[in-house]
Amino acid sequence: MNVNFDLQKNVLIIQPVCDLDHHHVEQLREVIDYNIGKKEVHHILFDLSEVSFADSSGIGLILGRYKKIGEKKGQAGFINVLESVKAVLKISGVFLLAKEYKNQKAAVEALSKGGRK
Amino acid sequence: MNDFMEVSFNANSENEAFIRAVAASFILRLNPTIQDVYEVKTIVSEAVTNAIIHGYEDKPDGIIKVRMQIDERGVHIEIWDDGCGIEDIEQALEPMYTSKAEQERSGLGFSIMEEFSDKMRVKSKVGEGTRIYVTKYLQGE
Repeated sequence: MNVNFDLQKNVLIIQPVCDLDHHHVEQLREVIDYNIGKKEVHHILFDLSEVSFADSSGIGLILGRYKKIGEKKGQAGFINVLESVKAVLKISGVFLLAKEYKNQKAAVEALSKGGRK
Repeated sequence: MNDFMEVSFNANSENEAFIRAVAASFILRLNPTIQDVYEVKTIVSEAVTNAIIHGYEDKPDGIIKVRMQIDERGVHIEIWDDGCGIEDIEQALEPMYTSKAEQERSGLGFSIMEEFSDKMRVKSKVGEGTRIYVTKYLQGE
């Protein structure tokens, strides 16, 4: 699978290892949702260090997962977003919904303590 | 400098990465910036994804054609399908509009293409297909 998962405290770290285009997003959605559905997961953190390309399909995936974690009253965040990927994500306004953190430790700290909405 | 290339391929989602790589390598001789390359890849990716999902409604036997022409100033891209066509182009171009919300489409494909290009024109006829023309001027390095 083109995605790694790691649970730190109650934060599910989602690290896709592929382009976030229509082709890959179709494969990722189900396995990500399965993991978000686990009861110990309260928040999600997208680690985009291995994503060198994302387009509107990737935005759709991210917004969809933001909605899913929102249903559990959780928050979402980002780390390691490449500049070019950031330019696309900015068009969607997704950074207004989910903050970018400077590293994993800071993100897990903030998300896990930030409590639920 | 004036040169062109043309590629046809099946409306198979695996070809999205293929055509992005083709587009990126074709413009390399213009010494584009990293951001320019990314933007051209994104424009092509969005248009081809639209053709696959909407034009051919996920039927991979459809054929998509991409033609790129370069000159000193930049690149002209044409993306062409023989799919179902767009009934209301104005509505399709609206940010966040999608006819496939159930598939979690963000409705931002055309907005991103417009954002990253200098000129964009969409021609479509229901039952006949869609042609998208994009011009992008490159800054060079």
